[in-house]
Order: sequence, then structure tokens, then C-alpha cells
Amino acid sequence: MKHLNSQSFLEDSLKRKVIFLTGKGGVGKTAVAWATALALSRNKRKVRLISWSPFESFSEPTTLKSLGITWHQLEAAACFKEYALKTLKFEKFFDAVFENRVLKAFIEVAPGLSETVIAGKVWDLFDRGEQDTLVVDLPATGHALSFFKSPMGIEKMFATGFVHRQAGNICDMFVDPYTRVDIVTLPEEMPLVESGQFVEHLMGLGKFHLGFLWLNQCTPDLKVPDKIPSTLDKSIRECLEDHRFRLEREAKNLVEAKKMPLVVKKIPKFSSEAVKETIEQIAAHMEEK
Amino acid sequence: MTEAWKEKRIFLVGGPGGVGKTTIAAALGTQLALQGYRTVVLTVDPAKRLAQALGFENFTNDLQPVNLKGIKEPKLFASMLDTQRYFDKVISRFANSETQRDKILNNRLYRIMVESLGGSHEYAAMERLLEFTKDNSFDKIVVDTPPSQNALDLLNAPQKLADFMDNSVLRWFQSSNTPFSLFRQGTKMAMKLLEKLFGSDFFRALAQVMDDLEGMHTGFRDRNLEVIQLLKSKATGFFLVSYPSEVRFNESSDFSRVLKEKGIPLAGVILNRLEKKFPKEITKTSDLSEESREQIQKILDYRYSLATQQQYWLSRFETSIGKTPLKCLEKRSEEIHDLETLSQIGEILLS
Repeated sequence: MKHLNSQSFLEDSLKRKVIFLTGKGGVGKTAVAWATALALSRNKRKVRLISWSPFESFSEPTTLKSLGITWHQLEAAACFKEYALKTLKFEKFFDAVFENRVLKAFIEVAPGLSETVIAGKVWDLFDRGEQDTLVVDLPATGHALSFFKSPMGIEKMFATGFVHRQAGNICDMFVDPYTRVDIVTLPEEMPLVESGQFVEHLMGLGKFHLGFLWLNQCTPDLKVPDKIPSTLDKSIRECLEDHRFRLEREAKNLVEAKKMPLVVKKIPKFSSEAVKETIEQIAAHMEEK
Repeated sequence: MTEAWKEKRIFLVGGPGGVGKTTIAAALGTQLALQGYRTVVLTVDPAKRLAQALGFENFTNDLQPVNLKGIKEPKLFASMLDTQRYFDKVISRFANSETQRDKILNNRLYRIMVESLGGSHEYAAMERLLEFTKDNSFDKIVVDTPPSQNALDLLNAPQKLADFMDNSVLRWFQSSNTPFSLFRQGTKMAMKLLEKLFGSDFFRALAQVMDDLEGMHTGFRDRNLEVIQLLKSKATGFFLVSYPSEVRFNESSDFSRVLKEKGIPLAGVILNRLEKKFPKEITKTSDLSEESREQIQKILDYRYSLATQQQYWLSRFETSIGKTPLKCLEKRSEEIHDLETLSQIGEILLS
């Protein structure tokens, strides 16, 4: 059972308020998230792209700027401070408290705290509704799961406190009918297996609305002649056979992918040199269908 | 890597996620073992198929011999790291008493902390590496490091934990009545803030773990120094695995810059999954229909552009790494999960 009513990326996305994206490391998750934001902003949606990485992340603000996308990189300590100052009316006078090395160590180590404050910030932006769509580029699947799990765990584990109350709001946003979770993967065995496991875990957590499964970097559907003429050079025959082999293997993997409760979409592997160009090509491909 | 690798005992295989690090670490280990070195490959989370190839299918022990064809005495060992179990071991080692150990291990929050602590995998990997280096029965140690986008994540993990275990941080959570100071005043405010945010039950449980960890900081700090020394030693080689594309190139440049700053030399760069170069055009005039010719040319164009794009980033890698040895591995059509293919790849790497 697919969760989406519409098979069209644009038709569905134009209705959404939040789109979360995740995927295994190295599958091009960030590129697909950026392309999602670009495709929507080209269709007159006011988009805000949010990225978060528990690592000191590699980021490309200049590329995003040239694409005209509003972008925030969220960092746990800063979100924590903003949250405390605003929600608790904690006085500015105690600014030094937040610079405290010990408090910083605490934020890093307290179970699920950084995930929860980041999710809290996403909720805040969602609640204020200054944009039409929030596109959230989550960390790789393992960390993305703890991103979804933490507020849910905190809500259950601790009966009191502001974080407990806030966690309830965040959980509601996760399963809101206007929220969607997309997964980026490759048409290869291991990444697909991992995506399947992620979906299973996620559905165990709650009633998430699963959206698209992006099969990134697919071999383009260039038809190989049924009979490869033996008069061709050996190296050309080898190239064609290899191409056919890739197409066949990917077709098999596509069958597996379609068993998941998401709408499967292929993104061909583009051979452009620059990141910006690739993002534009992916976005154009997304809009097409 | 010419012959330089022969002097190395520790091979750290690192780089961003999704570039085939685990496969390369396994390939290196297999080939080293075939050359007669008693080798251990330490991995954190091998892909299932690869685990099977290395004999992890039903592993019960964390150090497992791998059978290699034609070699009687076991030369290759694989070790898969279980972070949680390993942390428990570390706690047991550094604890001052059995009571302290049990108090920590039985605390529910401690378990969650290990899971969510940034860099806990990295820390555990470095700890386990130290253990192996002290075991003289191993000639070569290959470490498949946890995927880190940034070298700092990997190298700073022991430091971060040592900082956290710092005595002054621990004392902060304890209720002892130290003399009034500005710091204490700020601290009281911060405590109040945390308690307000989390509710008192959560906060009390956390303060308990911190209280229990008291006195263990020296152990952590000393280990941290040992790890840094080990990483800088001549016997250690850091091999960066990457892929010829813009994103990977930028990541790798950052990675090697940080290594340099930390005084850890880069022993080699391995570029994985290179597209094979095929002819650009059909040269022989053969009796092809116009349609087939067009179809074939389209495929050739596509493959040519993939290879050209990679060549560009390959040359950028070559210029930026200077004299550091560079090895390229061709993209394989099939997924790798047998020892024979692994040893072939290892042979290329060490040739």
C-alpha cells in the first residue's frame, strides 16, 4: 500500500508544508533535497531549505545562493539557546551560561537533546508558517532515525518539563497530513536493503506519511541493440554489454524497490561536472513527470 | 603505494560514507594476510554480504579467523566492533571499584548516552585499535574507520570524550558545596535552566550518572594522549578513500588539510569506482542500420562523458595531493562479496 494518492511529484509536493529527506551516506541525498527545494521554488512556492548534520558538515552556501534558495543550517547549541531564551523567558543577562563549556558538553551528550532541539526549531518554523514549504535535509538514515525517535522518546520517558510539552508538538508535526518523508537511494542492492530497514523502523515509530523513493544515479534508459553486431570493435562490444548488464541489474532492483510503500521515481545519473548544474538537471527531471 | 606500506603496521582506511571503505579495508587485510602477515581487520559496520565473505555470518566472538585458500595457519582475523559492549568494557577498566562499575552499567541513562553520544563509534574504534597495537601477535592492523564527513569527527572523538570526563565538568553536576564564585553562580543558573527544561526526574537521573563517573577522568585523558601519539607515529598510515567528483574532492581536501594540521601524514589516496574508458566513436564501418548506429553512439557518448568528468576530478586530485601515492580502482559491475575478488583488489592496492 502506497501512502500517496498522487504519483506526480509536483502535484503532491505543492500541497505539503514539510518534506523530510533522508538516505544512506553517499547516495546524493543532499543533491536531491536541494533539487526538491529548487523545483518547488520554480513553481512559485516560498521554500525554506533546512540542513542539519550532527557532524561539522560540509556545506555549499554559495551554490544555494546562486540558485536563489533560502537556507538555514541548524546547530544544536544555537537552537538550544534560542529556545531557552524565548520559551522560558530566560533572561539575556545569563548569556554567559550558554557559553559555559560545561553546558556545551551537556548538550552534546544528553540523550536525544540535540535531535530534539533541532526538531523543535523545525516545528517552530512550521508553526510560524512564514514559508509555504520546509524542505528538511536530514542526516544519513541511522541518525535520521534518532532524529524522529528522540522527541518521541522524550515525550514518553519524562512526564514533566517544557521539553516534554514541546515534544508532543514535534511528534504531531511528524505525522501531520501535510508532512511527507522521502527517501533517497541507489538502484543497488545494499542501499535498497538499508532503505527497506529504515522504512520498517520508521513505520514502527508512528504513522508517518511516506512519499517518494528516489532511485538516484540510474543508468539512463539508452537501448542496447538486441543483437550486438560481432563486426564491432571488441571494446565497443564490451561497453554495450556492460551497459546492458547495468540496465538489467537496475531493472531487477527496481522490482524490489517497488515493494516498498513509497512511490518509486528514477533520477538518471547526470554527467555534468559542477554540483549546481546537477541540481538544476535533477530539479528539471522532477518537474517533468 | 610503492614499498612504503611495508614499514607500516597500522592501516587506517578513512573517508566519507558510501565510497567503499569497508570493501577496501577488507581487500587490504586479505592481501596482507596472503603475503604472510598475521593481520586483523577491524570494522564497525560491514555490509552484510561483505561480512559473509569475511566469515561474520554467525559471529559470536568479536575476533574471528577467516579461512584463506591454500593457507593452513590462520593469518587473517576480522573483528567487528560492538560499540555498546565495548563501552561497558572501557567503563569496567577505568572504574575504581566494582560498586562504581555496576552503578554505571545499570543506569538506564548511561545506555542511552552511549547510543546517542556523538563520536561514540569513533571513540570505541580508537580504543580497540590501541588494544590491538599492544597485542604483539599481529603484524598488521587494518582499521575500517566509521564514516565521517570530516576528519575532525574521527580524530577528535577521544578528545571530546576526555573533555567530557574532565574532572571539572563532572564536579559541576555534583551537589558538593564549593565556595561561592562567579562560575558557581552561572552554573546554578544553568542547572536551573536544565531542570526547567527537562523536569526534575530526568535531570536527577542524569546527575546520578555524572556523579558515578567521578574519578574516571584520568583514565580517559591518558588514553586520549596515547591515541594521538599512535596516530602520529611512523608505523601508522592513513589511507583516504574517495571518488572523483566535485563533492568528494572538496570533502577530501578538507579531510587531508585537517590531518596535516594534526600532524598526521597521509600515506595514500585511493580513488574508487572509476569508469572504464571506451572508444568515443564507432570507427569500423560495419553494416549497421542507421537506427542501431544512433543507439550505440548515444551509449558511447554517455559513457564517454562519465569517464571524462571523472578524469577531470582525477586530475584535480593528482595536482592537489602532490607526492602522496594515488591508486585508482575501476568500477566493478557486480557487488563484491568473495575473498578472491577482495585479494585481487588488495593486490592492486599494494602493488
